[in-house]
Amino acid sequence: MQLLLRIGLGTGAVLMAAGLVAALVSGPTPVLPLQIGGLWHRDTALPVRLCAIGILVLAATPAVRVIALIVLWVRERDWKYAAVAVTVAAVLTLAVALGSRG
Amino acid sequence: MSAFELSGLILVGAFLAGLLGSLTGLGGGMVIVPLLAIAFGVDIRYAIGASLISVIATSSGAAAAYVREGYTNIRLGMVLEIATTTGALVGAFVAGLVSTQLIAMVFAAVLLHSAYLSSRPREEHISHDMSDRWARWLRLNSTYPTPEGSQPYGVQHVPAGFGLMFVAGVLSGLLGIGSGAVKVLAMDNAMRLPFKVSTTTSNFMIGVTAAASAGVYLRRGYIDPGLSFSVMLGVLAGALVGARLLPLVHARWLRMLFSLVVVALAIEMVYKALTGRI
Repeated sequence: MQLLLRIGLGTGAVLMAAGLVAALVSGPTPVLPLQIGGLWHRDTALPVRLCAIGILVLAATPAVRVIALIVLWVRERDWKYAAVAVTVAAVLTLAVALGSRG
Repeated sequence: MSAFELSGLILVGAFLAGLLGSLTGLGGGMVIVPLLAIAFGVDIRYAIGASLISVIATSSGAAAAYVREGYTNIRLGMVLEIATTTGALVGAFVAGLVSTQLIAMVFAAVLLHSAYLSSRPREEHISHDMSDRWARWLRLNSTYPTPEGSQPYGVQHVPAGFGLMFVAGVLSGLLGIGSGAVKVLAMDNAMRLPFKVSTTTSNFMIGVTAAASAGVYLRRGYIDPGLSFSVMLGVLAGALVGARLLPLVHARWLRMLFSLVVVALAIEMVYKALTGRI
């Protein structure tokens, strides 16, 4: 599990650093507020895209850890705790799913 | 000022915030959000979005180190995460509905409260008794390493701790901080955990709590990639240096410095909010 956290942190940081280098090479690009849907638009500049994907990887790292715990507790047949971890995962899903409303 | 100069200044500010946050154990978010809002004129919602990303990064880095040492109570952390993530969801929603002035005022109040708490010595109430009914049902009691070997501890007042954790989650989502002060209240005072267990378990939880808030901020478009990157890099570097320096510095002197910084930031925030400049 520690490995998981390190991988997430490392990948996110590397992607963001790559974005920074790309920004330095290509000169200033307009940095717009990040929209997940905009990531795959053709007109989103590469540095912004790299940086944004890095942020997404980093933000998703804790969520992956929750999923790893679900797997662990299901394997141990610890249903009480598998349910606890599933509840946390459900709240996280809700956060992303409902975030755009209101 | 060019964008690069500005990023450089933000990086330095974030480094100092991370350093102070890690040395005092209260987290970098408490300093970086007001700093961005006051000194750099960043919209407080973007400041909170950037702070959340840095909170996730530092928590992932620190949690990786602590879980290995055997202090973190993962079961307790996950149970309480139900409360903190739900609270964070509520807080992040509310942040989108209320004025930035109101957010700044609440932030100032939390800053002052933390300064007050950190100026008092932290009391340890380890419970060796049987845990309460909920803790027994959830098998929350555990052991932690001490110089005299592995020590068992019980967990008390689980419902009160759960409720306080919901509040900590709301504050985290509303203000983009780890809300360490409220967590300490819940874990030290209500649930009576040993310090090392409460600190490391709270750190384990902060990342997931901040991820719930970050989900909402991401969808709302309040996470600016450039700003978040500078802030994350600065806070992370500051936190790493802080962890190295920690054994070398005087805790009391540091807490006083932290309290002074925090009180100054709080006063400035209230002033800016009242004059409508935040």
